[in-house]
Amino acid sequence: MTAVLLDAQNITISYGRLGPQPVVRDVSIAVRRGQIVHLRGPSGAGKSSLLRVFAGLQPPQSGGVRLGGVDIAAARPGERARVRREVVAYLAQDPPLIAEFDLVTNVALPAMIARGRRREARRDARVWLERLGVGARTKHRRVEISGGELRRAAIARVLATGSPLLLMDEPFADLDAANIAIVAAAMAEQVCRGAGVLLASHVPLPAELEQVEMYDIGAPQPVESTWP
Amino acid sequence: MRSRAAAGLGRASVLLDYSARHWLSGWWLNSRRLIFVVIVLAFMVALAGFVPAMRFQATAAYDHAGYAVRVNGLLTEANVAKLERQTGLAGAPMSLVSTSVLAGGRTSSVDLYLGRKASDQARTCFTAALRVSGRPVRSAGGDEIALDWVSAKTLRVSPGDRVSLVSPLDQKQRFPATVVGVYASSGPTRKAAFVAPGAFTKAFGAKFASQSLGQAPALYSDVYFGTRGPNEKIAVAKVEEVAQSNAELLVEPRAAKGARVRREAADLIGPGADRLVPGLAGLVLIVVLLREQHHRLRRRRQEMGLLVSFGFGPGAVRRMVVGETVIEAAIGGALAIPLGRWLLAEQFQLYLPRSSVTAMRADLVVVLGLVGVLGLAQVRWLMARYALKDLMEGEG
Repeated sequence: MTAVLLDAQNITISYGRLGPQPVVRDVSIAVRRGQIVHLRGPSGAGKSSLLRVFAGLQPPQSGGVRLGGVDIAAARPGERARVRREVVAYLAQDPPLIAEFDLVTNVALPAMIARGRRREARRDARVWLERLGVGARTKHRRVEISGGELRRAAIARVLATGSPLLLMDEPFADLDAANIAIVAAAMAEQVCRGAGVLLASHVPLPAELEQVEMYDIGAPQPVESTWP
Repeated sequence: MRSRAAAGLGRASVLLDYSARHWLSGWWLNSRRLIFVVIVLAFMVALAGFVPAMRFQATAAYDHAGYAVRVNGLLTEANVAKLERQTGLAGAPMSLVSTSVLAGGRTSSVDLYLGRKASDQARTCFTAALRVSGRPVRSAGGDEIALDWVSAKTLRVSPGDRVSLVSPLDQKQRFPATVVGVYASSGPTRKAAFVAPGAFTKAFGAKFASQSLGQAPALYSDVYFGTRGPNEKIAVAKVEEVAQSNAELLVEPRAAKGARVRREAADLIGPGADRLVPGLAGLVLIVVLLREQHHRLRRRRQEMGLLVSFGFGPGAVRRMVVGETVIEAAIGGALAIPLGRWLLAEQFQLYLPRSSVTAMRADLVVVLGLVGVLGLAQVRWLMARYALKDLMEGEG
């Protein structure tokens, strides 16, 4: 797979029923293997929208996104679904857990879908839950855990996919300092293994995440493009 | 490395697992879902038995002979339809009109009042009717009769019971007979559902030979309607009014002038009551179903989006939603039809044929059921598409 995991060029995102109002204008960004990019910007700047676009879940008003070298807009639905399965793991700002599943099944679900190996996926999920300090809650369901535990379970779900590109929206929200450190260490480890991380956060990043490249929305920075 | 097919099967099993858990989880504890089940059951009960139930209620009014309505002309479909539309007589089941069989008495002493058909044939055939119990009348069996199921239920008789037949011309003349079969008339063909015994015909003349009204209309027929006891509060429908309302029908009070008949539901809200009430129930059901489905899909929208973000195509999620609908509808129907029949037969004392669905409407129930399931599946497909709209732009 190409070293450039995410290559987004001139992304513009607009909302509004009475006429599209641009929220994000001409953003170009790239994430490579072994790289952490911190997406910064004030509330409402469009960080979450950008992450959704990069995850292939929302089409931009204009601009193009390549995930793992695949042009998402031009790809067929099946190919797009494959990219979502195999290239990207996305942590939403309010990450949902499926209420009917216990925590370990929730965490194992994306890996089950991607690889179809249920037992292996559940084993990995337990390992990640244990590591992020939610190991005692594997049999619990969404309504039985706290907000911080839910956030860590959702992060475990992203990390358990083994996807090369991790898109994380506010991963440190609801977490205390000790847990922030644990999560950051886990993310840093993934980066060392060759993953690329794009995270949006309004809080300062912990020290465990070193050599983070900053990207401020509203202050476009030229990036080297893989687009022809 | 696992093949793509194996991975695809694995994904399908995950979707199935999710769907099954979602469906089963808290089903019996979720009041909203219980309400949904009750509504579906109610609908199926209404579908399977409401119209027959109303018709049976109408027959219950004819417990005793009260007065006669003489159709002064051919007993054609049109005349019978007019008769059915009369105030106070509305809801008279076709089977009673055409058979001229009157309900009354108890099993041990049942009087059947035979309609006299001026075409001199009272015996009718069951060529287009469905036998629900017993056997056909043997041509050599002079004292055998078969009844339509409404009459059999009203009279509380079944094959094997002895009944006595009474001539409307001379009520002192009685003729013992054995009920050998019960039939459900076939509906649109409107075959008369009564067979006069051959010996009875012999006793009273050729006037009482068998005839299919649908094939050869009688010149006129005496039709008897009953009243309940004098102390029972029943709606008034004076026979004169009946006569005045349609000059083609001549009404003769037989038991007492000003005889009363029970006002039936059809009278209270119009002659189309048997279609109106289930129709309204159906409309209410559709609205409630759509709201319920919309609510369920909205609640699951986030989860469906999550599944898409994990790598399912929106098409797969939509197929899952439609599959759920088909399975739910199939389970609901399989439960509702026997339950509906049990409620109608055991709790409301209504007689229904013993086939799996109401025999007269088996085809209708099946067609409506299929249309309902497919329609609901289509609606949920559209709702799922709407719910996933912003995840599906540009995707199939």
